[in-house]
Order: sequence, then structure tokens, then C-alpha cells
Amino acid sequence: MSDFVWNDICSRNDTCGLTGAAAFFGGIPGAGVLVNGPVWCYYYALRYLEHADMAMPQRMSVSQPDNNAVVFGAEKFLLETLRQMQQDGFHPDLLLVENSCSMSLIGDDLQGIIQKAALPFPVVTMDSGGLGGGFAEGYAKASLALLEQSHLEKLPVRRGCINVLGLTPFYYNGQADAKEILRLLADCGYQVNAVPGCGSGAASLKELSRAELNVVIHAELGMPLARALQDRFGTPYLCAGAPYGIEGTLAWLQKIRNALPCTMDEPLREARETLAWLTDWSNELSLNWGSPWFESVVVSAPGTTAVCLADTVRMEWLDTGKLVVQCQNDVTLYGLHSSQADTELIAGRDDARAAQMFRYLDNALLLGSSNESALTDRRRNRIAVCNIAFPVKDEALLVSVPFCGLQGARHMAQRIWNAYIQGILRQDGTCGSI
Amino acid sequence: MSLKMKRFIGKARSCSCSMTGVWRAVTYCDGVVAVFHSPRACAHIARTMDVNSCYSNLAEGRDGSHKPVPLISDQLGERESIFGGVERLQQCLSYAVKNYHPECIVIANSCVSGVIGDDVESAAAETEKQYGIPVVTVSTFGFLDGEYYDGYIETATKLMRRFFRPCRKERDTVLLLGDSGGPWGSYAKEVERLLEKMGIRIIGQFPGFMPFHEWPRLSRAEAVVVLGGNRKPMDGLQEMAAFLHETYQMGTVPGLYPIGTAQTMRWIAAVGRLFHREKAAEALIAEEQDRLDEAVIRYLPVTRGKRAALCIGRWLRYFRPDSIWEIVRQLQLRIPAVILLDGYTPAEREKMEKAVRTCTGLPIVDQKSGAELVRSAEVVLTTHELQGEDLHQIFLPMLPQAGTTAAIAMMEAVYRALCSRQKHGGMRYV
Repeated sequence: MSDFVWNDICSRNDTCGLTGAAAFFGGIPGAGVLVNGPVWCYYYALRYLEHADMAMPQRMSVSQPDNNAVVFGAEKFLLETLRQMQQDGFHPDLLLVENSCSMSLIGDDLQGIIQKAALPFPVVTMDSGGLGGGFAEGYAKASLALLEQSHLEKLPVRRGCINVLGLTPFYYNGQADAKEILRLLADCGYQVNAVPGCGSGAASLKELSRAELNVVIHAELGMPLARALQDRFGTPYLCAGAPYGIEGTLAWLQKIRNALPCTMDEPLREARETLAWLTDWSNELSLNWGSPWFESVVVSAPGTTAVCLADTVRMEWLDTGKLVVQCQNDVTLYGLHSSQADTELIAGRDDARAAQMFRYLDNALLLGSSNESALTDRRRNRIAVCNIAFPVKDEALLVSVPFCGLQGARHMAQRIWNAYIQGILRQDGTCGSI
Repeated sequence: MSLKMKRFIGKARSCSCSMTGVWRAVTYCDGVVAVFHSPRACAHIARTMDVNSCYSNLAEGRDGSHKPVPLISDQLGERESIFGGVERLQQCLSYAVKNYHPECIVIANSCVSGVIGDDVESAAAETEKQYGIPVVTVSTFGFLDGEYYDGYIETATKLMRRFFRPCRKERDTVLLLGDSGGPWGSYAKEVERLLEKMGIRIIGQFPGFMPFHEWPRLSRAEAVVVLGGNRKPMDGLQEMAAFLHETYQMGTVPGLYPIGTAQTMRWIAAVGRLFHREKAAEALIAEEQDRLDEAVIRYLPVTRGKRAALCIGRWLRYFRPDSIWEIVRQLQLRIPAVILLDGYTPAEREKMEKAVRTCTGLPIVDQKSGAELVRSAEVVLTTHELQGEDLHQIFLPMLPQAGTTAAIAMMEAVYRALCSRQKHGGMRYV
């Protein structure tokens, strides 16, 4: 018998590669996505992406092949959809045409079909879907497809210029986090050249080779592109991870500074100010509510978020008896791990343990998504919830305030304090979600 | 200004995936393990549906903590796409038997396995022989050869035919057949309320919500009540009801659902006759009529003569206009024409036009011509979210909702929308 482990999927919240690929192109302003696959796969990808960008339906389409496509190919459905898109006045700066997993098995010559359509805008094609993995794999594969099919040339390097890789607006609060990360880097004097998949347009992506350093934030998203850029242009990269908390953010900046010198005066000033402010407020709140304490804290999120945030939880935000980290991607492959976690679980490998843990979780703070919350017994057990990952069904987050960086330090402290206070206020044994 | 839908998906072909239908047929059946013969991400969609359902229940004040049975994906990868996935499936089935100790396994097939051409039936039969537990699979593969309801109905039918056994009848009991949001959903709750008032008890809901060991005893119910509406997908449930009637003498009210006020009254009368409780049914009809009348009296001062738009974009097999038209009439809303949104094939448009004609003689216009009617309406009743911040929209539910409670809830939504003084509109869900 195989030593492969097949677990109940309930404790995983990963979407498929098709969604991840669409997310990478969705993060490029003016880009469109055409899914060559069934409506159902398209629709669930769209609904996922909409939570970060409500305008996605206007730039994402589907070809809807039928049974016969398995035998005769999907060409006529693709051409019909492309014709319809143009007729509707949709002219993206760049279009991704991605095969769903079953369509990728048929063996259609996507590039040939696209040539036949003679489109007036550049097109990137790729096989996608669940066969190749989840969201992160799809995102990474799309970034590589763009690199391969854009025929980029090596341009002269600009001093102090960096690319920021592995950012996406399609992680929970991703847009606000990206903005904060770029603000901090700018405050240090770095010139950000391009942020593929998170704000850089098709034109600026052509200049990717100008950077002196590629800084990778979410390793599971950005590392494959960083390695490919090093291979192709010789650009060095740094897997920096995501900055959380005050000390965490300063350490993160220092790590980047070690690779490419900068000035940190402004972030240091802001950090001192933020620390003083948070200390005053924390003391004020403690006067009434005591110091926040949970028997256990569980962090469950995409790999980089999970390990980086978990360390800050314990080092800066609150005290707990036990810290468990569940990574939705295995980022140990990229040298990222939590130094503070008592238990580190990897989705896909430790799902049975994770499912058991969620079921019996009590007097705990859960920093995760609504997927994990749904696994807990919130009616009977005392569980405070603070969402940090999609899917989110029990919170309205309508303001653009980051979780990352120095502004994020205030925001996260606020969210955790409020979760703690709501938990005390609800005497029926259930806690609030913040 | 043109009228646009927020998400426009022309449903000319494959609309949904049969795997999630298979899953929904066993989601809460203790003793069962569901196996998706698919890439792992396909199971994510099923999980998304469960999480959505959990929070919908919580939002409506119901318990959202019902635990689904294990759902395992055999995680087809690129290797299996070349060499075939049967070996992988068999290994996964063995793993499931040894680790989850199921009494029954149900396999759903993905479009990937359909394209590869895996012989899933044989793999299921072999596992069944090896471990001595039933292993059921279906003939649909993701979006190939069927859709959500095809997967759901085929699974339910196979389980019913295989596991139901003759039983001694329990008086005044029914078995609910179908889903419509499950036992915690508003449909089943409303049916339960109406049946209780006639002294009839529900023994359970099949498929999807009864433990495996209970299945052989479900024919003890005197009758079957099919949950759903006059929609094509419900034909499969009606066929199941007919089988149960023929094989186990379980009574049924064929083709009748408690959807819309007039049909609800007919349904109550029919159930009353079936259980020889005509008097109780008569009293209940009067009671429900009073309830409705009271609601109309409450809402009418606000709703009478108000400009409304009715936009229909769903195909007839998924949406029938009669029950919403009843509410339009009762609330005396002023609708100049019925708007059929883009997305119909000519044949489907004709079917919907015909259905609308049975409700009203008003003109039927297309999306383009209807734009102005929508802009000038005080409330928009629509099957699809429309673009426009100023529109006060009410979403006409995908799943039919039952009884007078649903009718009153829809009236309440219209009333509240018309009471709104906010400049911006938005979507209301009932």
C-alpha cells in the first residue's frame, strides 16, 4: 500500500491553481482572464477573487466547453468567447487564457488558437487547474508563464531599485498590506521598480530586469519567479517574509537592508512613536480588562503569513500557554518557519491532527479563516476569532488598514484586544469575532 | 443608460459540477465516507459550500455546527493524468477503509477522471469485494455527462434502491425527500410547521441527512414529501417518490409543492387527503389565509401602486415566475412590463415567455428596452444582481422557498425596500 496520506479536506482552505493564476493576472491593472473550462470552476474562482476585487466579473470570462470538447477540442468555444469579449468592448492590456485541469488534458494548441483569433492585445496562455496544485502554485506558474512568454530583455540595472515579488491583493486584506509594505520600503529610500501580480501594469513588467534586488514577501507565491529572474538576469533575491508587529517590521527591514543598504531613520522614528502609543493604550485597557490571555493561540493561514504572524503574536501581542501554527503551504521549503510555535502543522500532511485540534479548541484565540472557525464548537467553547485569511464569512472589513507593518501593528493590536474584550462580555460561553 | 448584470454567465452549456451534487447527497450521513476521484482542489469547492451553509444557518439563528462526514480527495496529479488514476483511487479507498472505518463509501468522479477514462465502476466493485462494504459510484464526471442535480439524483436513487428495506409503517409520519437547504433550512422548517399542525411527524430527510444505519428503516414512513419546486431538476425526486410508492407503498402528492400561496393551499389540502385529515387541512388553510391577509393589510398602504420592475434571467427549469407574480399582485405593485434579461437561447426565451404569459398579459421586453423601466422603479425584483448603486433590488432566490412564511418574507422585503429613504440602493436577499 502507498505511504501517501489521504485526509479529510475539512481543515484546508486552499483554492485551486486556476484561481491562483487568475489572481496573479487579476493583480495586474488592465489585465483580463479567460478561463477555458467549465462554468463551475470559473464561477468559484471568480467568487473567491471578487472578495478582494468586486470588479473582477468585468474582466474575467469563461469558454464553457461541452462534452464534445473532450473529443473535438475546445477551439470553437474559445474563439466564440474571444469574439464575444471583443464585441462587448473588452480590450485588456494583457490577457491570460488558462486551461482548467480537464481542458489541459485534451491537448489543444492554445497558442495556435490565440494566433488564429488575431487579437489586438498580448496574450499569455497556460495550463492550469488543480492538477498542478493550489492557489500558490497557480499564482507562481502564471508569473513564470508571463516571464517566459513576454520575451523580456536584460536592461541596465538601476541602483537602489527593487522588485517586490509574491504580493497579491487576493489574500485577505492583501491590498492594504501591499500598500503598507511598499510605503515602508519607500520610507527607507528604496525605489520600487515593479510589483508583479500586485499593482504593476503590463508596461512596467517589461522592466523587471532593472532591479538590483528582488524582495520576496510571500515565499509560496514569489519564490519561483525570484529564482527564474536570477537564472535569466542574474538578479539576486531575498526571501524576506511578511512584516508583522513593531519589532517584526524593524527586523524585516533590517534583513532587506543587509542585502541592499538603505536608511531606516523614518521607520525607526515611526516605530518608537507606535510603540509608545500602543504601550499607553495597552496599559489603559489592562486597567479594566486585565492582560489578554488565552490558553492557546492557533494561527492558520497561507504559509508565509502563518509563520511570520505567529512569531509576532507571541513576541509582541499577547501571552499564551500554547501556540499552534497551521501553514496552508509548506514554506519550510524556502527556509521560513516559526521560531515561537509549540506545534507547527502543515496542511496536507497534518490534516487529521488539525481537524482534531479544531474540534476540541477551548479558551483559545483563533487567527485564521471562517473555514477553521466553522470547525470549532463556538457555541460551547470559548473561542475568540480574528480573521487573517480567506474565506471570511463572519466579518465586514471595509476600511483599508493593513495587518502588516507599523500601521498593521496598531490594527492587529486593536483587533486582538477587541476579540479579547468581546469574549469577556459574552457570558454565554461564546466569544466574539473581530 | 444600459442595463448590465453584475455577473453575466450565459448558461448555454455546462452550468455546474456533478461532484458537489454527489457530495450533497451524503454530506451529513454518518457512516459514509465520500471520496472525490479528482484533483484536491475540487474538494475545496465542496468545502466552500459547507462553510457557506454553516454561516447561512448561523445568520438565521440556527445551529451551524453540524459536522459533515469525511470528504477525501484521492488527489489526482499530473502523473495520473498520463498513466491513469485507478490505482491511485484504489489506494485511496483502502486508506479510507482502514482509517475511517466507513459503513459505506460513495465516489464522485471529476471531469479529469472522465477525460482520462478511468474505469471507476470496476475499482469500486473490487474494493467492495475486498473489504465487504458497499462502494457506490455514479456515471457522471464533473461537468461531463451531467450537472449538480444529475450527480445528486443518481446518488440518491442508487442509495435508495440498494439500501431501503420493507418496514412496518408508522402512522402519521413522512419522510422528506430532497435538500432545499437541509433540515435546518427555511423550506424544511416551513414544511415541518405545516405538517405538525395537521398532526403529521417527520422521521427524517433523505438523502444527505440520515445516518447510514437508518436507511433500511426509512420506508416505515407512511408517505414521502418531496422538497423542491416545479423545476426540471425535481423530476428525479418525483421519480424516486414514485418508486417508493410502488415498492414500499409510501403515499405521495405527485407534482405538488408548497410554493406560492395558491399552490401551498392546494398542497395542504392534498396532504390532508393523503392522511385522511381533511378537517385539519381545512382549518390550516383558513389559518394560513388569515396569516397572509394580515400581512397584506400591513404592507399594502406602503406597497400599493408603487413602481416596480421584474427582471428574469434564469431559465424556466430553474425559475418559475408564478409565485413572485402572486406577490406582485397581492401587494398591488405597478409593473409596466416584464423584463427578460440577456442570456436566454431563443428556445429558452420562448419557454419563459410562455410561462410569463400564464401569469400576466403585460408586455415582455428585453434587457435593453427594460433599462428605463428599471431606472424608474422604486423596487427591482430580479433573478440576477444588476449594476447600479441606486437600485433597490430584491434577489429572487435560486432555491424555491416554501409556504406562507416564504411569501410573507418576500412581502416584508418589498415593504422594507419601499420604506427605505436611503439614496443608494443595494441587494436584499430573502
